[in-house]
Amino acid sequence: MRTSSSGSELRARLATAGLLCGAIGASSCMKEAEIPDPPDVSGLVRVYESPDGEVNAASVAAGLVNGVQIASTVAGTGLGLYLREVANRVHESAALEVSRDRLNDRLEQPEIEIDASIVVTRVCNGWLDPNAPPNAAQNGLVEAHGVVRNDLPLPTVWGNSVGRCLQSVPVEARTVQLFFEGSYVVEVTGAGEPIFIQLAGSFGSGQASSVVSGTRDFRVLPNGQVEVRAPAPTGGDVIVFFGAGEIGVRGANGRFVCSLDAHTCTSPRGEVFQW
Amino acid sequence: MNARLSRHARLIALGAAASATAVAGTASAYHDDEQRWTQHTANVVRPTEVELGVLAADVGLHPGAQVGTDTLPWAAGLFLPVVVPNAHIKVNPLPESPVSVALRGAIYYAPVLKDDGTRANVFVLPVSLFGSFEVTRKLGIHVEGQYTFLTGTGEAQPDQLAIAGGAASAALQFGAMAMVRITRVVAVYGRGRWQAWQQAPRVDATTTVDQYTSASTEANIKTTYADGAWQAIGGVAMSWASANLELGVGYGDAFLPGWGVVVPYKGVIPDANLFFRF
Repeated sequence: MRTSSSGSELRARLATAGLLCGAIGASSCMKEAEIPDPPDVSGLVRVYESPDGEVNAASVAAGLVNGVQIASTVAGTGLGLYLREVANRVHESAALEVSRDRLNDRLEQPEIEIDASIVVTRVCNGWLDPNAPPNAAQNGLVEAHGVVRNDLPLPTVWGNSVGRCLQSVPVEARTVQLFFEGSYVVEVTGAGEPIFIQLAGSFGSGQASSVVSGTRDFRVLPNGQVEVRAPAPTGGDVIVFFGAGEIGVRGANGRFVCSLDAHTCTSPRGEVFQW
Repeated sequence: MNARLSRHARLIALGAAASATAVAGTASAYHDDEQRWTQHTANVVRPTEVELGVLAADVGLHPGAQVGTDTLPWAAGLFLPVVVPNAHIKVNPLPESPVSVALRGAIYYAPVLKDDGTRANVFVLPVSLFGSFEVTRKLGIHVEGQYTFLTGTGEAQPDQLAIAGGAASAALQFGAMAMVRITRVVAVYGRGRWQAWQQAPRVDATTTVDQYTSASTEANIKTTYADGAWQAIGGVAMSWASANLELGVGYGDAFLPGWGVVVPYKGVIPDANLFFRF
C-alpha cells in the first residue's frame, strides 16, 4: 500500500513538473540536445592518403616487420570487419533518424534540418554460440557514437568497449574468436571505401597468440588489404601494407613491394634495395 | 496546402454569404460601445452568451471569463485519422475598460494511431497575453504575445524496428491588430503576426535494432521555414445581431489559428471566420 501510494505521489510530482515545464518553458526542462564533435582524425586519414615519409632502407627496417605483425593480426581477427559492422549500425540509425523525422512525405521540406547524436550499444555475441541470447556481463559490449549534422551522418564513429568484448566474426569462411578491449575511432566514408581505425587498447583472437596493444591506427581496404602507419626515421610517416597477396611500404617517393625473407623492396620502376 | 486552404476559404465564404443574407439589416452587435470584437483581442464573451463558429465555440461564464473549444481540430476527424480534443479559457479582469488585458490558455491533445503500429500522443499548450486599447470610439488596437509549448511521446515499428521516444518544442509569437469601425455593422482590420523565437524541436528516441543492438538518439530538428515566420492580413469584420463574419486575405507564413504553430507554407493567406452569438 505504501509503495502504491509512493508511486502515485511520484507520478503526481512528475506530472506537476511536466506542466510547470510547459507553463514556464523552463530551459532545464527542454534544452536543445547537445551534439558532440567527433574526434578529429582527418590529419591521420590524410597521411594514409598521401604519406609524407620517404621509403628507404631505414624506414623499411624500422617499420615493416612491426607493421606487418599488426596488419596480419587485424586481418586475422576480423577486427576491421567487426568495427565496420558497428559503424554501419550507427550510420543506419542515423539514416533512420533523418528519414523518420522528416515527418512524412506530404510535409517534407528542404527547410527542415536535423542534427542528432546517436549512441548504438551492441552486446558482443561471445565465442561459444553466436546465436545465444545476449549476455553483456559475460561477453562485454561495445558502445558506438555517431553524429548527424545538417541531415548528413558524419563519417566518424567512435566509442569503447565496456568490459572485454568477445565476438565471433566470420572471416573468409571460418569463424574467428575476436577479443577487443579499449576505445576506438572509425572513419567510414562509404561502401567500397577504405575504413580508417584508431584504437587504444588491445585486441587479438582466441585462436592465435598474437595480441596487439597500445594506441594504433590502421586502414582496411575494400580488397582486404590492411595498412599500418609507421614513423619514418628520416621524418614523416610511411604506410606498411599487408594482404591481397603482397607486402610493402608506401611513402612520398612511391609504393614499394617488399620481401620479408629476402629483406628487399622493389620500387615502382623495378629498382631493388636491401634493408 | 494552398489548395486545401483555398477550398477551406471558399466553403467558409459560401456559408458566410448565405448566413449574412439571412440576417443582414438586423441590429448591430459587436461594433458599438457596449460590445467589442472578441477575436484576436482581450475582449471576452459576455456571461451566459455563446459564440458558436467554424473556428471555435465559446461560452461566457462570468464577467470577464469565457471557456470554449476550437471546432476545427474536432472536425479534422472527418478528413484525417486524428481528432484533436482541445479546450481554452480566456480571462479579462477589466472587461469593460477601454484599456484591458486578458490571459488565454489552451490545451490541444492529438493522439495518433496508424495501421503500421505507430502511436503518438502530442500536447500543444499555448498561453497568450492580450492587450486591447480603444484609442478612439472607432479605432481599437490589439496586441498579443503567445508562448507555445509542444511536447509528445510516441512509438513506431518501421522495418521490424521498435522505436520509442519523445519530443519537445517551444515558440514565442507576437501579433497586433488594428480595427476601425466603419458602421455599426462593418469594421475593417489589419493584422500581423510574427514568430520571434522558437526552440528547435528536440526528439529523443530509443530503437531496438535486434536482440544484440539498441540505439538511442537525441536530435534537434531545425524547422528553418519557421524562423522569423510572419504574416500580414487585411480584411473586413461584419457583425449583425447574431452572425459575425470575418473575411480577409494576406500574405506570409501560415499559422495554425490558436495553436501558435507555423506550418510549412508561405504564400497568399486567406482569412475567414464565421460565428454566431446567442
